[in-house]
Amino acid sequence: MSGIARVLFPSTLDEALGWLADPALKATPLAGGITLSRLATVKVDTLVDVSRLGLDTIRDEGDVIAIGAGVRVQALKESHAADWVASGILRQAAGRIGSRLIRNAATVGGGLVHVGPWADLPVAFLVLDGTAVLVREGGSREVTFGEFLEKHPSRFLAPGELLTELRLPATAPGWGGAYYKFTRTEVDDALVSAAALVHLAEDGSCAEARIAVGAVRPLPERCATAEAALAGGPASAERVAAAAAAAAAGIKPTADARASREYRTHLVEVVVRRVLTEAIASARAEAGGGGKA
Amino acid sequence: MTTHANETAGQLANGRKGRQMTIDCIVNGEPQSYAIDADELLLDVLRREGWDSVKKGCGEGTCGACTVLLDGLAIPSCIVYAAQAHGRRVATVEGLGTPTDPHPLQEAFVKHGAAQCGFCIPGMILSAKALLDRHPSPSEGQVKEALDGNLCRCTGYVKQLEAIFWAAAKMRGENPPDPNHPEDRYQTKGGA
Repeated sequence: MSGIARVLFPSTLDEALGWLADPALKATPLAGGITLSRLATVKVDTLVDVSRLGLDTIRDEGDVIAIGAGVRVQALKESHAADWVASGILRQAAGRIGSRLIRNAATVGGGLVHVGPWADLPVAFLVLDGTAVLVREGGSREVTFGEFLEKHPSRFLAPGELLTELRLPATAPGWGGAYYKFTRTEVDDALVSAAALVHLAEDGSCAEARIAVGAVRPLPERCATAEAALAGGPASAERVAAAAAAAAAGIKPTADARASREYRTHLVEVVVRRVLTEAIASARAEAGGGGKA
Repeated sequence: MTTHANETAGQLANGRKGRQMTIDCIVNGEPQSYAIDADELLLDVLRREGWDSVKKGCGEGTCGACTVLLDGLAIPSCIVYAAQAHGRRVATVEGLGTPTDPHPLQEAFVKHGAAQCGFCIPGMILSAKALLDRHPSPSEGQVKEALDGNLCRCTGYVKQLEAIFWAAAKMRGENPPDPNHPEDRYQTKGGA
C-alpha cells in the first residue's frame, strides 16, 4: 500500500485506539505488514503499529485458550497450548501457511482480518467454537467466528475497531479436528483446503460434524449438507464418502487461473474425505482418555 | 524506545532529504537513524543505506533472497515496511563476519561449495543463523523447515544442508573436519 503519510507507534492500547478512531488520520492497524504492503489502496493515510502492545501472547486460561491477534503464525505452529483445541487443528493449519519467513512475519489476527480466498487459519476457525474480541475507543465486543466471517471482516469491523484476541475453548474428550490443504508445492497457496471437527458419541457414532472448505469461494464456508450426511450415524468410511460427495455437490467453486471449477469440485470431494478421516481418527484417539482434564 | 508520536497531532519529525519520517534501529549492532518515506519497504531502505547483501528477488516474499533478521526472527524484508524496524534490531550477513574473520556459517558455505551464483546465500545464512541461535543441535527436519522460505535455483540444496550441520558443530565448540580434506580428521591428527 503506497501513499501512506505516516506511521505511528503507540505506547498503549488506548493510545492506539484513539488514533484508529480519529477520522482525520484515516488510520489502519499495522501488525505483520505483509498484507498491507501488498494491497493497492489510497484510502489510508496512517498506519498505527500495534505489534508492540502485548497482543502477541498465547495464554492457557484453563478451559479457554486465548490467542493474541498479534501472535505470529510460526509461534502458533510451535505452541503447545494450542494443542488443547481440537487435536491441534490450529497448529496444523498454521504450519501450512507459506514458508517459515512468511510465518515469522504474519500474525494470526492479520490473516483473519485480511482473509483472502486461500487463507488457512480462518477455515479452521469456522469449525471451532470460539470468539473474536474486538475493541475500540470506548468499548469492546465479542463475536463468534461464524459472525465474523459471514462477510469480509473489513466490512464487519466498525471504524477504529481492532481485533485483539481469539478465545477458543479447550476441546473435550471425544472431539477431534483436522486441517488438510491441497497444494502443488509445499509452500504454495491452497487450491482447495478443508477443516473438520467431529464429535463421537460413546458408541463410536458421529454425534456432530462440522466441515468447512477454503480456497473455493471468496471466503471459507461451512458445508451444511455434508455435515448432515455424516452426523447422527456411524463414523464409517461409507458415510465419510457420502459426506465428501455432498460437500462437492453442494458448492460452486470459483474458476480462476489456478484451477478450473471442475478440478476444484473434484478436489473438494477428495480433501473433505481426507480431512474427515483424519478428524475421526483424532476423535477416537481423544476418546481414549485424551483431551484436557 | 523513541516514538515520534509526541509531535503535533501525530505528525512525525521531518527526515533528511525531504523524507517523511525517521526511524531509529540497530543494524548489525550499531545504532542507525534512517530517513524514510512511510510506505517504503524495509528491503529498499536497507539497500539504499548500503546493505547490499540483502537481495531483491521476487518482490512478493516467496523466494527468501531478501531475508533479514528482525529482532532475531527471519523475515522477508521485501514485504514489510521499513517503519516496522523502528526500535528493533536488524541483522544482515555484513554483520556476521568478514572474509578474513568469517562466521562459522559463512566459512561453512564457502568450504562446502554451497554457493553457485550466490544470490540466495545471504538469506540462507541468516535463516540458518536464526535457527542455530535457538536450536544448536537441529535435526534435518528442523533445518529444512527453517529454510523452507529460501529458494535456490542453482543447487539441489544438499551442500547448504551439509554446510549448516558443519557450522552447527563448529558453533557448539566441536572441531568438524574440513570437508575438502576428509583424510585430515582431527581424531587422527598426529597419528600414524
